[in-house]
Amino acid sequence: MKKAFPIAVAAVAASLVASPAFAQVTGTVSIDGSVANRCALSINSATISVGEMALASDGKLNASVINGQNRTLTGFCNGSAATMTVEAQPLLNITAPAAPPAGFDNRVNYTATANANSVNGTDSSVTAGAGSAVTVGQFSGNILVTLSAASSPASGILVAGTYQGKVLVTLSPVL
Amino acid sequence: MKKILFAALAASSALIAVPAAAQTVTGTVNVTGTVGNRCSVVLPAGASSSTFSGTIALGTLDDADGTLRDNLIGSTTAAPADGLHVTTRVVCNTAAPVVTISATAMQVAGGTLTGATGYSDTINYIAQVEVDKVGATSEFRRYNTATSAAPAGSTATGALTAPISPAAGDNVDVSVFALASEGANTNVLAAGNYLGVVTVTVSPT
Repeated sequence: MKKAFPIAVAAVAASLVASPAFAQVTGTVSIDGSVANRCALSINSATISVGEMALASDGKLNASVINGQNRTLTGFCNGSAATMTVEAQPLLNITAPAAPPAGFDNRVNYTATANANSVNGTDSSVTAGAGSAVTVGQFSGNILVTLSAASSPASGILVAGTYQGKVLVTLSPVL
Repeated sequence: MKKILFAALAASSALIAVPAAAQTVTGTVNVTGTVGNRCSVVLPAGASSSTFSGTIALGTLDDADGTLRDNLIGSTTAAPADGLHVTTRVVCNTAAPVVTISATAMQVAGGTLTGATGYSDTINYIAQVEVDKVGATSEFRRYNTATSAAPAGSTATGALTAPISPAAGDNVDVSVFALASEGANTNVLAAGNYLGVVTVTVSPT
């Protein structure tokens, strides 16, 4: 006899295999970088040519041709601890550098003031070396350098010749 | 059921930024000036000038006999004519200013006795300028109108051996001495106003 093979249709119940939902995951990639304490000057030099420095009347220093002269440098510092120093080097007679006789001068002194971020740094050329450092902090813009208090050591007659001096403005990112 | 945990490994790569070494920067403002070679006359009021002037007024030039005054003839470098000087203050800013002197004889304007024997209308003299120098010394420049040159032993032009004294006060002194009537001191001087001119220049070089 035939047997009926029951075809078991296996009803495969589509069993919904409750596979667990993918747990949300979060990957994190950290990115970091740094900016070094830095100062830079985009305009780092200038020249003040004062011309004739002696009075026609008595040959002594005409301070008015120096006092008030100014030039602008530009730069920036990005750290709150940035400092600035100024060094004024005297105008020295390079034509006649030897010590002059009594009553004559071949050196002109002055005070230089640099203003950056509304902070003044100063130095007098009377004493060698830079002035005290001042904190300028974070700034970007002009550095105005102004001359004042011009004088000669003996208030004497200025020896004829060419005179040269310079103002050095130094920005330091950190102390 | 199994829970498969997917662990996401988050690998973070840390970028360690090595900060650049902090650098100082320096800006330079050059300052230049000049002092030109210069000599100036300092006037009493403090103003300056390129010239000075004065008069040595000798007054009556003749003695009672009409000849040139003996004391003018006998005047010397140390005791110039009538003790008169014209002085001024000059400032120079060079190491060896050049001082030059020249002079013209004293002559009567429109003289009518020119060449007449026994008469003179021209008086020669030696003009001198004394310039004070640094170091409390001085130098002379002299000129004899009779020879149109410096007298023997003197120079009419040349650089000083030291700068002009910068001290306050007059440092240039002009005088005349050793006057002599042209021809002979025994000549009678023609009447009239006599005028001679001494020119002194001080140059920075």
